[in-house]
Amino acid sequence: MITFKANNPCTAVSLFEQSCIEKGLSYKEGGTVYNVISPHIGGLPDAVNSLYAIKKAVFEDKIISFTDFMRILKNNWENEEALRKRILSNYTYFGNDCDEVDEIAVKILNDFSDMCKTYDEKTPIRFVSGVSTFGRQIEWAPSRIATPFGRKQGEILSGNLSPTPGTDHNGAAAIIKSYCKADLKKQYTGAALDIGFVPSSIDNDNAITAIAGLIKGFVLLGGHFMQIDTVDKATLTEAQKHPENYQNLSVRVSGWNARFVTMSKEWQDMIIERAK
Amino acid sequence: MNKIKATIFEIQRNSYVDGPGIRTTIFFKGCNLKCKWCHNPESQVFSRQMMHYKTKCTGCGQCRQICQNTSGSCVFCGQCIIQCPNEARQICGKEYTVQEVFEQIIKDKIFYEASGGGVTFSGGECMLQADFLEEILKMCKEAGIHTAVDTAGNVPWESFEKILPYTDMFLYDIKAVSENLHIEGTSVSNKTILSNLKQLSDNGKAEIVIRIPIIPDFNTHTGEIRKIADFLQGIRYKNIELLPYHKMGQYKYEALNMHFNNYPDLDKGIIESYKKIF
Ligand code: SF4
Ligand code: SF4
Repeated sequence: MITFKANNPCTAVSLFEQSCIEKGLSYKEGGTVYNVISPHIGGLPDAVNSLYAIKKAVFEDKIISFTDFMRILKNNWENEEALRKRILSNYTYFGNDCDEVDEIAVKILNDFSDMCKTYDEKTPIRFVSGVSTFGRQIEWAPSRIATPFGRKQGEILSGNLSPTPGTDHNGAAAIIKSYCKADLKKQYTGAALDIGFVPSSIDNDNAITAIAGLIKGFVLLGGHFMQIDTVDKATLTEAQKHPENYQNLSVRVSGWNARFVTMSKEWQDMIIERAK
Repeated sequence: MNKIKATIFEIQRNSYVDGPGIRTTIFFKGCNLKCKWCHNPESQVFSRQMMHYKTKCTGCGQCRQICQNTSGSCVFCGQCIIQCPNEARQICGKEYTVQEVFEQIIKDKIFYEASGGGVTFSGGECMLQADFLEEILKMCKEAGIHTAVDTAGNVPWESFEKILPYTDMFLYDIKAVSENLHIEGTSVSNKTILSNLKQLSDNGKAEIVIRIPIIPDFNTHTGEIRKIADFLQGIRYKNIELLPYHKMGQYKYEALNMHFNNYPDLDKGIIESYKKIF
């Protein structure tokens, strides 16, 4: 911590923050009443899904040995399409309200905040944990390697604490439940969750009541950071091109439902037309 | 423990279009009407079906190569689905016990309470599996969950009696009141349907929501909607939903090798004008 302080005294911040000048201490030496450094992790749902896929495929179902599995991943799933799809589609991943996989997320989140806490107690600076990527998952994609749950090298993986694109199949309520299983109070600086709706599936009177209910349920379950948006035209067009990443988009009309990715191009185009 | 099973083709959590609030909708497989405009053709037969989405298929033949089944009729092993590189195949329908369905429903209880929602049993015709339905409704009621049943009503009144004590709301479909027209569109008479609705209205306590599909060239002619409105004068209902015809189910017909009846597009203004009738 000492070298960190010396190399990076945060002069500008110290000038503008209250009481650094009065106390003659820089921001990082404890010049303000509240000093916060908050490490945020990204890609947690991908890590959870990866550990879960290894647990299932290697140790429980024994469909592949660990060594072979790692070799396949190094080769970016080359010539292993059947296995890749089996692992991707036969297991239930984070965001579907499945305790077995969500427990892994709870454990990682708890361990992470506990680790931060050990620094928090040793320095004048509050060192508290949080979760976010805020769009950087796109920047990170080129350096991503293949994942055990069936994703190939370079794919865009999860944003914030939201499920990996295409792995949630049960809608917003299930995503919220998976997310809220962890003790989110420990993520002091927030753990963002994003929920997106296909516009044509929420243009009815009841949808407002329902979304209000989602928010209420979210708060009752201990959630504290959710961003709700509609899926825009660009995303739907992307889903048409890369259905594997958008398994979750579903289109509803009374008594009728379909997954967007299974619809014919003509009907997809119609749904896209209706989006903003 | 109860061992009765039902074939269900979809359990849709987080639905906003099948009754009030946030709901979980259970789609039962099997129906005894044959509506020419049906938008869920996979709901008509009771047994499982292999769906093959023609527009996704590139004809690569990998599914046929992997299929171990020589008898010609699919055994639903699922191998071809894993093999297909284009997500062009899907098994429709899975057997569930009452307990298994309940476990899915109870998961969202907190959201039902937060939104005034609950569970909706739909299909197909869920009331054709009345014993299963009675059991699952009973369990839901005991757990304090609001229950709705989406039905076309073409079942013996005894089936209604079975489930009445545990059903808070009926979503009741009316396609036509003129009998011949009804037979032409759905291949069955509407006598039982209308008399059940009357009984339900007179004797039941459950709320009734009337749902009327508006099908161009079927019930948009010869004042049929007005005739429905007249019939409903004698019925106790909460509200009416007019469901505009849409063709989004067409690709499902192709996937099942079924014939698709192409009705004309609906003139958007017509729904607004019908709303004034009720
Ligand atoms: S599910 Fe199995 S039996 Fe049926 S077509 Fe596919 S591979 Fe053949
Ligand atoms: S494997 Fe898929 S894409 Fe290939 S022929 Fe079969 S259904 Fe079509």
